[in-house]
Amino acid sequence: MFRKKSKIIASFTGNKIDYSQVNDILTTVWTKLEEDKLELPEIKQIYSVVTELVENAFRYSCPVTESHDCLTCLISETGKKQYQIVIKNPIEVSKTERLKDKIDFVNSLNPIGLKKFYQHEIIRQKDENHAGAGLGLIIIARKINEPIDFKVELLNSTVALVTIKAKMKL
Amino acid sequence: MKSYKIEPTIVSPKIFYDISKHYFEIGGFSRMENVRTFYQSYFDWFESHKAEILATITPTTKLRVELRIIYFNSASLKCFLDILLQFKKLYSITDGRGSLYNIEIFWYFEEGDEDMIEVGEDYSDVVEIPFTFVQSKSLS
Repeated sequence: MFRKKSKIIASFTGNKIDYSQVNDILTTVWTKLEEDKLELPEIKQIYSVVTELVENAFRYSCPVTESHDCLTCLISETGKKQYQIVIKNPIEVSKTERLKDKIDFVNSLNPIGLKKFYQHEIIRQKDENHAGAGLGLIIIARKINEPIDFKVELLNSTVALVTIKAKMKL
Repeated sequence: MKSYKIEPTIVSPKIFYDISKHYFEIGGFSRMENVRTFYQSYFDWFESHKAEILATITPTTKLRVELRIIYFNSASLKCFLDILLQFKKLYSITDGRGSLYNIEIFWYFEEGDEDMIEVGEDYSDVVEIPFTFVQSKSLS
């Protein structure tokens, strides 16, 4: 049985990521998707998910050592108009539980629930001058077709490697 | 009369506000490294010109806001909201019947971009001002 190989759109590996590298990844994704003749809404759908995940890696990554390249971003086309974004990001162990709770919650919502929760979070920002952490996860959940996949692996007593996988079919 | 203008880059939007014409426009991409720092320069300018803006507003003055956004990240959302809420406060008239907002908000979207319409609808609900949706061939 023939199975189409994945095509890598953009990838990154390092012990941390700076914003010029974030820009490189995002620019590459946009350019390659344009070259693949995707429609603008399709490009934006993928780009939104990649942006939120890569920016999260930039903001919350916590390098283990200078030589330990455990931060990975991989954006690939896995089939006809099917895409997968995988981010492996070392973060503080103390932050993993809260992240897991947020992901579990958005995964439990259907599209109507996600829309309501999104509006609720925006209103919360309006009313409480709230910075809105977690809004990115709602945006991701609204753009993809399957639950956000989330795994945690302890690297040492303070740092855990979090793997987030988002799959989408246009 | 002064105006505020910032040209767009591949990651940051164009912002243009003409006080005398009561015209505000924002467009392009908004996903900078420090979103709040970028918008803070606009907010600071706005605050320092508030008295000047207020002096030009009469009960019949109407602000035209054009949102021509291609893409914005979640971190930009709060800043957009703050911009609209500042205008809402400034261009409002309150009488015995309540508040009237002299603002027209035009939300531009590219052909076929249904998601962007939905985003605009969500925003309109939150700001509590109806948006006019305008289809455009290209926003870039």
